[in-house]
Amino acid sequence: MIVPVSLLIGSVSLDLLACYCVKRSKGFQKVIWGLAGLLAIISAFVLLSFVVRDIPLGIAYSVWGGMGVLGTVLLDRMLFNSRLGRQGMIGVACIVAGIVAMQL
Amino acid sequence: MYYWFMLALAVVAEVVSTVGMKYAATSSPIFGYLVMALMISFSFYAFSRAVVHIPLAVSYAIWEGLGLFLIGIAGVVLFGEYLSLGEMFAIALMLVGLLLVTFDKGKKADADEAFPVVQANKHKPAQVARMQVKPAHRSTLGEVAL
Repeated sequence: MIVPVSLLIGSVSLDLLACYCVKRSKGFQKVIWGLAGLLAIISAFVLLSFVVRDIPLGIAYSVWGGMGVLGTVLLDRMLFNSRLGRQGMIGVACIVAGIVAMQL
Repeated sequence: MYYWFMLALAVVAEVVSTVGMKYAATSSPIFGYLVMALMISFSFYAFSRAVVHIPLAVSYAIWEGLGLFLIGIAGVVLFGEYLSLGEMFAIALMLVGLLLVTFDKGKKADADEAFPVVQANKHKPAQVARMQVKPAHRSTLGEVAL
């Protein structure tokens, strides 16, 4: 269980890096950032492909997506100091509950 | 219409690339990885085109939500995976959480964009109405979250 989980975390980190790069590229106007973003998202998917070797696709992808959203919320809070409203907090709770429920 | 078409393409490309990913992991690495890399790049690009005119919260929710749903089905249909009732429930829970978080941020992220309002009026009037209330725009990572 340790290996897929750490791969998943690595993949989510690369996904967040890709988001940041694409944001910097401003809709692919700055090509270097756009290409860096593409490279990061492809690496993220390569890591994810090792995860789906022994975890069903639907589960792996939903946990990956959920962790991506959590990471984005966390980074936004730390880097850009943007906070979620009550609705967003309920959403975060739902995602965490979903990931925990997956482990049971 | 062009932007909604791009969004649809982004969803399709995302699903194909994920299926390619699973295919690469299970049977044919080279072909699978090729499809995966090509399709995820295209999906990324199409999505970045779509958000030019469709509010980010709406397009992200459709992209990720529909993608998650279709990929779950693809795993069951194409690769014979088995999802228990509890696992389906957990996926649904995460989907709900994703939508809640996305639309929470969208209010801030798209607040100062004038033109998506015209587009969005047809589809999500309630959302737009709330967007107008909070004018403070702050550039965040959530705007391009995948």
